[in-house]
Amino acid sequence: MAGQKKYRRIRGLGGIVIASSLSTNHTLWLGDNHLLSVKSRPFWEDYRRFYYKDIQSVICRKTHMGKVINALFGLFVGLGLLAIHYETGTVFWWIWAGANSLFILLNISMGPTCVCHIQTAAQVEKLPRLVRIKKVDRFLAVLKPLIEKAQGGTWDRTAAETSRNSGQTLPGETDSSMRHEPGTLHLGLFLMLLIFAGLIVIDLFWDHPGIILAAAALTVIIALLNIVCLVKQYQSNIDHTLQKLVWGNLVFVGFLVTAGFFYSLFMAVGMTMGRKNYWALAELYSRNSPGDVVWLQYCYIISIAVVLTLSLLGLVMSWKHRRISAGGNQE
Amino acid sequence: MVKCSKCGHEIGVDRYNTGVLLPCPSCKSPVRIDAFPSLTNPPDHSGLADTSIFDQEAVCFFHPTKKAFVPCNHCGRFLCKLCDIPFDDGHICPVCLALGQKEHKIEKLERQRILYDSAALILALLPVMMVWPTILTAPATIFLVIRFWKAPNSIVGRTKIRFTIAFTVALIEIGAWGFGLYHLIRI
Repeated sequence: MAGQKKYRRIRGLGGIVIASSLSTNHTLWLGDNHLLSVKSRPFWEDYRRFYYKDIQSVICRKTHMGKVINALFGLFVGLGLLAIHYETGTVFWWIWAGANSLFILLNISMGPTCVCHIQTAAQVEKLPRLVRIKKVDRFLAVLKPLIEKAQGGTWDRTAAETSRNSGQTLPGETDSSMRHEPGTLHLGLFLMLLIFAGLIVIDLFWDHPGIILAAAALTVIIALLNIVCLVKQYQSNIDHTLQKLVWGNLVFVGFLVTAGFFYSLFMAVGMTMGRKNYWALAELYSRNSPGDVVWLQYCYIISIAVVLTLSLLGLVMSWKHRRISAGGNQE
Repeated sequence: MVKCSKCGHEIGVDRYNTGVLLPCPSCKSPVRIDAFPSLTNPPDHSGLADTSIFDQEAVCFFHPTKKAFVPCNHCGRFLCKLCDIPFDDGHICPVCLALGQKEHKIEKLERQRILYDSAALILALLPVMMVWPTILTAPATIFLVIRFWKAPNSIVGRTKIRFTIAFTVALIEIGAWGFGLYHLIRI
């Protein structure tokens, strides 16, 4: 194949990549005079080229995603251990706890997470493949010599400082800062989520149709707020990890809504006599106490765990973002 | 210069090429910057306004009043510094660039390619789960494989293995349908 001679793949960048879409794969290839970033989808590929002589800098910023992943899997392990403690027939939960522990170890072995950008005169582009600092190190080890060869040497700090002191505008000094977003809505979203977690806990111990209806209404509000937050955070300076949390929350809320819909449908079909309205449905729903139904108990426990994790992490990150934003505004 | 990818704050040159993660002055995110010479070397814009020509000098094909600088590597037309587009270690004129992109003649201008082999493979494999659609998708797969066998594939190079598997699976599906229909008719 002629293509194989033109490009060689950068080795050592493989492994597990938590992609924004399961149907998209990002790879990096070295050409004779440029770096090729390939975004592969099921039916087509998109290409972006970065010529070695044009690359000004590579920016690598550490993120908290690795810690978030560890926290999430740690929670699953904790759930498993809790279930082992209270439950007989614990083979499934041992496998559950063991598998999640392995994921934690794998995540730790892969090293800290990061987000990597490449800067040229015209743009600052993210390289989605490079999500681990170890991968960035391997990438730079291969790319740096090629760039320095194309540009005729290494970066001269003295020249840069001299130019800066003489007041010259240097190439690449375009206004590429993202849209500023205070993060108020994000804070509100995760606060709502925390309240929702509280409602689920109350529902676990006290069966009342009012709680069911309140939780349903709050779910709708959270879903709408989630969508608004997604719009607000697009191309803004909101932290990458926080953005991922909002997406994760959307997925979870979507799952809750879907599961709740089918469960309600199932319950509604079973309503053969009496009044048929939402209050009656909520009454019927609340009669299925988690204390009596084991699988429902686990559903509640898992929901509480996930919602609490998302809400607390989101609250902490939103608060930090607002603090940084406020500090930037004061300057 | 270089700005933090989180908060957009400009990062001082003393933090470039240190090889370690250093906190951003504004948001304190650990950032590592590897800078290269093109960050501080300004682009060469000299001579763009050069319009003076003398007798016996070649002139630009698109600007007869401007002195020619280089010929286009693709069509050979003389180009002034304004019309010259540095591309792939050579020079190209705007017309060749536009045509090359439109007609997919210059590979390095391509930003997207359709992967007919992946499409054929998905068309062959995915409907198997539902069984019935394969009566339509199997012949469609065969058509795709034959029609696009020689079409340009991924720019980074791929073998024909996907086409081969898709063709084989489609043939098996057609064979299974034929076998089933034959027995149905017999009954």
